[in-house]
Amino acid sequence: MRGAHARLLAVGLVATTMSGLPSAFAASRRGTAAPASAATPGGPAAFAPAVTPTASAPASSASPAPVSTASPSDEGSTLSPPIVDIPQSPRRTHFFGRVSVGFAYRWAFSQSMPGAALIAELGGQDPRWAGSVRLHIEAGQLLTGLPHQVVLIGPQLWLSVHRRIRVGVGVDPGMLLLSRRTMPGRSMWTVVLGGHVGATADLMQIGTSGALHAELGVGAYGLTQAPGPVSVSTHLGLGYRL
Amino acid sequence: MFASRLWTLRPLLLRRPLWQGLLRPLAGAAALLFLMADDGISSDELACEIAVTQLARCCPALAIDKISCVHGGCDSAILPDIDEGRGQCIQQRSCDELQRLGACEPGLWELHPRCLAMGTSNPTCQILVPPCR
Repeated sequence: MRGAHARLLAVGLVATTMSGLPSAFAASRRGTAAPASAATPGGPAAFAPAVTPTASAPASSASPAPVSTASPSDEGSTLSPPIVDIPQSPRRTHFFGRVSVGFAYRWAFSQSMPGAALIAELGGQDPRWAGSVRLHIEAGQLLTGLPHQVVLIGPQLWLSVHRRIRVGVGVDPGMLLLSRRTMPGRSMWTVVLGGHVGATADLMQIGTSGALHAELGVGAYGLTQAPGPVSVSTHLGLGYRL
Repeated sequence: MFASRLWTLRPLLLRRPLWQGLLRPLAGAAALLFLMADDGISSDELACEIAVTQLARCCPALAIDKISCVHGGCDSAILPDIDEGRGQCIQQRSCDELQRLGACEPGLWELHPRCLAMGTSNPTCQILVPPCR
């Protein structure tokens, strides 16, 4: 007999847990019934919070749940489970893409190397962080007239520090090429290993998450087989982020 | 609360992180780049190429394709025609100075110091280089 009671109690608890009654029960016991604004419109305020992770449930419920006047004591009453749209988690990662073009200045081989830079990134982001693979292509000319190209590819991390400002850091393995003047089409090249820090400032919001932004970056690199083993670079650009 | 946190962490723990997937190809690419770098950019090659650029700018009629700036070969036996010292000298001279020195006139070029050192033992060494002092 006692066992049957216990089993009934367990079944009742499971049923009430599934239908969200405990929170309503707790709220009513506290004397603070769940406000109507916190529940799904069209749905019962008392049932929603048990399964809705945030208070800001979307207004578009799939279908309104039936209104029930069940009291905490109606353990045996049959309640159809409420249909609640769970809002998208703000921590969910989304696609991240960015492209930027601008001016680049590099110092290497005791020479100034001005040029143009194209940066493209693909990865994922959440509201605070973004991670991507970054491709940096730079082309220019030493002040003495020798053309150069830099190709870097590596991981990049961005942190949103303000609504419009992001700071980033990345590792840049790649190569630096110097076109030969004596043999057109041939190059001398060396491996480049280093990293950079950068920041972007959103200038104009485009769409829901896109933005036109200004970018500033500074990098330091080691040249594995070249005279003057260090190269320092900076770039200033204008870009678009998806 | 703890259970729900576990639910959010579990996919992250079970799924192979992106950086782990990228680590191997990146390391491979870096190693390959390092091995392929060959001799890299040597200082004499760079000085020679920059000097040739300066000559081409100051002497548009000069046939610069006759000059070799390659450093390589077995035991680095092949050296640039314009050595590092001469290359730096040419870089530092203005166009007027180079024209005055005769760098724009191949007929006024001098025999490469290497050929001079060989003396008459190797008369086939006829590398001519622009003068610069």
